[in-house]
Amino acid sequence: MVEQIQVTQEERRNYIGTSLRRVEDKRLLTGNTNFVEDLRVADTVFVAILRSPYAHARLLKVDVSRVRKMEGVIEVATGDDALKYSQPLPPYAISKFPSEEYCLATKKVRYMGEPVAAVAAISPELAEDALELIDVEYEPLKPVVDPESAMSKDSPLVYDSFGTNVVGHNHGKWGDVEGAFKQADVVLKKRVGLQRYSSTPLESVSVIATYDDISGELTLKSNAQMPGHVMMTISKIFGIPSNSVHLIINDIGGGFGLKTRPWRQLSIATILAMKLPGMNVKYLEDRTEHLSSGGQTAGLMADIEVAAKKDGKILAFRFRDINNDGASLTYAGTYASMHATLISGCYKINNIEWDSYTVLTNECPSMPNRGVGKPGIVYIVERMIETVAQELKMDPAEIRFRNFIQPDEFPYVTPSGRIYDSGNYPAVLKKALEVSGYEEMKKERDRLKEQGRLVGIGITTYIHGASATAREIEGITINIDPRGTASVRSGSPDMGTSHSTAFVQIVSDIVGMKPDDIRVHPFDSYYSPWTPFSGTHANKFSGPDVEAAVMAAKLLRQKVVTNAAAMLKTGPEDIEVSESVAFSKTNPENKVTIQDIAKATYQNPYLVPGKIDPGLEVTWIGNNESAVKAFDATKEIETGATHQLVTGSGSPTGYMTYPNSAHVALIEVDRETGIISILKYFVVHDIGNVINPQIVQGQLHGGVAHGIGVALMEDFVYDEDGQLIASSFANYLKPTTMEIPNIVDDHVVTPSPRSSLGIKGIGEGETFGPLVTMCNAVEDALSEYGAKVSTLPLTPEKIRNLINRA
Amino acid sequence: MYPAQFQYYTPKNIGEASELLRKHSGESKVLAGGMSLIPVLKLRLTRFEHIVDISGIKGLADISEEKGHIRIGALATHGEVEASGLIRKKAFLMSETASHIGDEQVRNMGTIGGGLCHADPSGDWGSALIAMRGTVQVSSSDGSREIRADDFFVDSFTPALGEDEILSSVTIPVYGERSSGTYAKLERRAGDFAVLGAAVQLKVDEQDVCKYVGIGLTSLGMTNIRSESAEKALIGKELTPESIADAAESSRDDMDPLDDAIRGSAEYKKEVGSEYVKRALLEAMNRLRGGTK
Repeated sequence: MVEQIQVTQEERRNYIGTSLRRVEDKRLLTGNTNFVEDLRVADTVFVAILRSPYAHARLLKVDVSRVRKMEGVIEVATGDDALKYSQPLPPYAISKFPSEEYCLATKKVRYMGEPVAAVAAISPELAEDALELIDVEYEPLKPVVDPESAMSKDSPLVYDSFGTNVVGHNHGKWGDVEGAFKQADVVLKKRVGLQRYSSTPLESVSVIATYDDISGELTLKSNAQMPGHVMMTISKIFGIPSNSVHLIINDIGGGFGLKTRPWRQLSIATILAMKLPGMNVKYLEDRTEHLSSGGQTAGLMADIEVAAKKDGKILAFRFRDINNDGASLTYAGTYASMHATLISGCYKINNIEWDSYTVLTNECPSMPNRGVGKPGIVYIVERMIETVAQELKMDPAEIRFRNFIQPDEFPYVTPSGRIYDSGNYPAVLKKALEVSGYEEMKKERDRLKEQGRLVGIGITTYIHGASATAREIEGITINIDPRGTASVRSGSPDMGTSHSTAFVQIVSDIVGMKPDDIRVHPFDSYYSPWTPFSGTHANKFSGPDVEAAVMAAKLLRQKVVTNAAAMLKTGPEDIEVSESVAFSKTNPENKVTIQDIAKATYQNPYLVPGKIDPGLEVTWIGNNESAVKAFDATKEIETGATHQLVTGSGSPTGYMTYPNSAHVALIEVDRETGIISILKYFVVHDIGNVINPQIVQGQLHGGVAHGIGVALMEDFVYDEDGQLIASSFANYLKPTTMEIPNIVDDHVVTPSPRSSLGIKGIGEGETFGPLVTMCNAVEDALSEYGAKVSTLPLTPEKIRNLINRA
Repeated sequence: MYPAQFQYYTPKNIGEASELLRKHSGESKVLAGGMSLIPVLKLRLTRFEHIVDISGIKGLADISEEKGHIRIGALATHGEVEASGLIRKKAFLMSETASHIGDEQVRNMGTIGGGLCHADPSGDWGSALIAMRGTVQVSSSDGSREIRADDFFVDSFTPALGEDEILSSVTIPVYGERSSGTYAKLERRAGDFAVLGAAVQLKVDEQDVCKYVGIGLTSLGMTNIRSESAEKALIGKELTPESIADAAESSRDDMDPLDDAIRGSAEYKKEVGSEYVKRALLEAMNRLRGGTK
């Protein structure tokens, strides 16, 4: 199929690569939105969920007799209904243990905030009042919140039948690790950790579920970000055909991964909908519910040992990581597996041993969050490099130059069998040093240090891993209707990610249409093509989504050209299409509008003299040839991790593109309070060609801001009883614009050979840099104390203690 | 996230409001700007059967000068206090304190009276009021009385108000020539609850000897508290970096903060608290020397 596409004429680029103003903005900024909350429909009942106050307890009794009598309460659901209507929630990555978790707790509660019962009432306020009339008896059990304690034999068990809390173990060994350690001039050890955090989308999970008991159709209007997974999973959980699931996704107020697997929220609404056929069952998760049970990252603790030569060359490293995935199998194991994906970062290190544990605890279940385990492995590798540089008293830029994979070594095969597509890591760092005025900055730092100020520079260079895997194919339909306007329907929903603008740019250029003639429709499973992977995740838009759009647009152009040639009585090779007009290259006055082509091909297809191709609609599902080839190559050699998909068997995780970044920051530490001020921040990255520079800049700024938040303040703090302290934005600290510095950005471009537009991904990657950059900068600022940082966030008290202890 | 059901009243004057509070004694609460009350109601951390909204009572938001004092109506918003030219000129500490409270939206809704009556130990107003030795006027249908700042904060979230009493205004002395004030607030992010804070009001004579010292502390005790030790250490002394450092050191004795898993341990707060007393005093001294505020 791929070979059949021939687009001989040079494609015009009027829009791709320009900062076309976002087509989404006017509607959003004027409040004409279709978030689930905005949808007001008749016959609606509102859901409130009773949640466990305990981190770990046996569920002795859930008595709903009182609440059923309350005026305004229409229906109630408990764990018994979950057993009757639904299957356990399916795990994504781990297949070794049977899932025992239902959307409503059955025998035990395993984290504070786990759903126990749900009420549907005539108003949301009444529904919340009604929860107080549900009588629950708990027998509190000792919880386990520390993942290392959870690994011990005498730990309380999150799932008794598993016999262990350690649900995943990966081991990989590549090269000659022992031999390399013997040759080392220095061997260093380092312990590093990342807290549990979240990107906290502005809009939490929401759904309106409606069940038609005559047709058997289940309609879900939701803000889920992976329609493919929803279609596969909800149909499985409820044992209904997927073509009876009508999933409609309108506006999404941010996702970041936390809306990829909203199984509990969607299932609870669905159970109530099935008990109330014809009613619209509306559930809007509130902020505290979202923070305590909507999903958090897996916590990470890693012990690293690294071997290096005096000249800074890293010979080998080994590390053992423990990943705290909370109280659920649903996403457990995926954070750990991502470590294999970027195991040696942008460095040529061939001797590596990796020993990785996935552990369950009585904390909130893990969910994907902007990069999943990639921030973790970047943090491990980059903190390790920094440690070696410090020990050898080597410039942190210099040690990186000495270990980089070189630009002529692509495609580069990593020890764990991932194949990097392209890049120029030395050029990216070199440009970052130039843009930041690194040499001058060092002098400035030294001058300020002499004045007694604690000023430091942090540098980091790393790989993102983007554009999803080539197997995660997407579907798209592009149609020019009989009046000449184009519609785009994709399985990949926009969640604030500017999909519509980017699709408009691609279709405008490739088909040759005015942007105003193109509309991108929201996802609707009855009208939009979808695959099991359909969705917005893993920087996937820049990969399969764009490839499908390019393919479909090229095929559509072919139809336009064929029909235009017939109408203009010339050959297809003589046709150019631009701004919704097709014309003869040799005689530009010989032209026809796309509107007239549409009219002719739909209304009078057989009156046109010559061969035409009726109808102007193309659906494409798949990926491009070079991406598929690269995937096949990876598939043969990849080790370390496979994902057990909800769809069946395991599958490799090699990414389609591997962008890279260099971050440079200048910070100051207040000696007395430990407060960190960021004085300057620079990002230079290589994400290949760019579709829309302004949108990329927005993604970059947002990513860095979130990364700074994680580095300095965000933390889901639990006490020893498993009670979440940070359960609202009063205690889960997000940075404001006042804490985020101006960010200076610049670019190096090495187009990805696996992308037909030469692009790479941008959504996740810039969040990783600040985690490392801030640590490195703090250690530089506190060099007079020899202070070493090991865990995030870098709270003022933690910094102050480092100074006091020195 | 909805409050439990409550009855809602909009009295026209303090007398009516006070009657309602008396009638529903123990089950009622005054609502002014709602910036603290509404969140705790929504989180169902507390509940009241009766909510008496006084925000519609006329004449309770005026800011005026009278006989060496500035009177601020209880319903004046933080933003109005911050923007008042009179306060900026004659009681700069109040203006600066207002600018540190919450964000723009909170400052546009929240009121000085509401903030004080909430009596949160991490509240900013209490420290400024203590530092300036201000008073509050409270009224009920039985009449009015005045309470000194020192006597107003009984315990965390517990002001010295009778069940039917409503705070109607705040009075601040004008310290005049050779005086200055400042509020130093340590916050994890702009507009956040104070990790800790120190409000300072100074007045010196022509020889730079301290004639008045007022120091109020935020998040360093069970309520906003006065640092008597630091005040004593400085009063009658010449204002110098050394005398300030000594006073700040002694302020530690007055602090008894709580551990906070998010914003810092008691130990950290005490250590940095005295540093903030020092910074506030130094800033106040610099402002005196600069001849401003």
